[in-house]
Amino acid sequence: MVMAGLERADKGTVKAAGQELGAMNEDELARFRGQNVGIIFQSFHLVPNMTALENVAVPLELSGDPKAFERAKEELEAVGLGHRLNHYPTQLSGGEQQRVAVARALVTDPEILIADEPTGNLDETTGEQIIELMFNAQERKNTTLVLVTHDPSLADRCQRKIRVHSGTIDEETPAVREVRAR
Amino acid sequence: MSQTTSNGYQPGFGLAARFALREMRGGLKGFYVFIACIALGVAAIAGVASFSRALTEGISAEGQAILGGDLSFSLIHREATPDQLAYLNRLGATSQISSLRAMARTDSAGNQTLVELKAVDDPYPLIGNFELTSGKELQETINGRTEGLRNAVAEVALLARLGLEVGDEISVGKTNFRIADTIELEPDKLSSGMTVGPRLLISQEALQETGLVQPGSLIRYIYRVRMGYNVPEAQLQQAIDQTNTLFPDAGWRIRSKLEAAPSLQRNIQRFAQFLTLIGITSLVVGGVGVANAVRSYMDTRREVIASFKCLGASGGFVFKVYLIQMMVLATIGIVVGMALGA
Repeated sequence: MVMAGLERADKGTVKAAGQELGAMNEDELARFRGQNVGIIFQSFHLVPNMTALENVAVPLELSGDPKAFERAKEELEAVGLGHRLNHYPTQLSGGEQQRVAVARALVTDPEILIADEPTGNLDETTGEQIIELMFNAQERKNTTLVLVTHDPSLADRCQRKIRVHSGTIDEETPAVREVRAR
Repeated sequence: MSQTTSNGYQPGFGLAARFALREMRGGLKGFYVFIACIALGVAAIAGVASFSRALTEGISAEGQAILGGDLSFSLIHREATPDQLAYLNRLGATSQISSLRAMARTDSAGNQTLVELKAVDDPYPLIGNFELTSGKELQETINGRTEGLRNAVAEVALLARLGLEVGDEISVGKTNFRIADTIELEPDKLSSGMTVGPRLLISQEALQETGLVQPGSLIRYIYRVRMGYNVPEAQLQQAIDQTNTLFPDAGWRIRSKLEAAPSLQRNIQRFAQFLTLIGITSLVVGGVGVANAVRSYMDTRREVIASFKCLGASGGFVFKVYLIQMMVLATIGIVVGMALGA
């Protein structure tokens, strides 16, 4: 959440996507998120009165993209929801809603994709599908995927793991210096 | 990795309006109190305004009938000079009315009451019809005599107050009158303004006989002129200006049909102002309801607002989205209120 500029760090500096977040005001942080960060929440957080297509188009519209709806449609087709474009969130299953959320997070081609317990509200099979979708998208878009999870097997699929316990980092594999050395 | 946007782009009013309308697809649920508060306040104010306008316009439209002519010249204590009368006759058909307050007494029990005595001539009324209960002609009645006494016609209220019936005697000044009929409709009654007693109507000749016309008597002599049918405002004003030029010292009060019942119009205006004040107060009190409705609505939208901000919307943009929604809802309330109040 600090990385996305949703919360402020108590001390130190936070640099994400090449930008220093501490010096930004709320509107600058919002713009930074719109341009660099895609966020997937555990409980989807789709806008209930907008269709799947409109939900995905929101970040593009906010950034002034004239082809917002075309790109949103492509992204929804990429997550396998080309047939559900004009459905409202209440008309979609949990898995479909999370796919819409994934499409919405990816549509701006963000530098960082943050997924906060993305499968927490889904059954096992649907959860696995969503995870595959995210890892595929990460490769397809060549983006950084930051995954927050309680599932160690899921964490094992990531290139780097940071274990946080009671607010402090207690294990990091590989360590920062190893990553930097690569 | 491609950057999707230009850094300086600021989403404008159009996009905010689109988002607002999308947000309102859920319908008006939860906004009925909001709309009702605004609609009621607006309806109260609009209702008062349209009611008072209807009254005022009614008075203006019927101005000629209420005033009893196109122009009215009123003098107190003295009659118009022959010169002035000749001039008024040149302006159009003229009628003279003398009006004063007098005591009317009954011979039998010594009962008496204050009456609004009005003496009229033959052309009266210039506009509209004077109706008597029996359906007889006014002039024929008041110019005639019954059993040796001059006839008078009275409002029913006068008969009730003195315990009289049609055919009984009543004395005003030095003269005894026979109540020959009761008044059903007096077309120019509104122009008299405030009255202190019921109407008693007699002929001009009869008034001279009462002995009430003395130097210093508080008699109002009203000369009404009918200039034609649908006389335009400019022509009336021209006639008034001409009169003032010709008779600068006449001392008469000139009224046109456009201000037929000024005291009534003033009263309506005051009453409307008072009711508008009540309407505004109710709108302000309703504002508390509006504020509560907005607050509870915004609580339900907190999650959506958070989503917008996560997706790159600035605080100003979110504010615009919900401001537009509130303005749309307020407009609905105002339209409903105006429809109710019109």
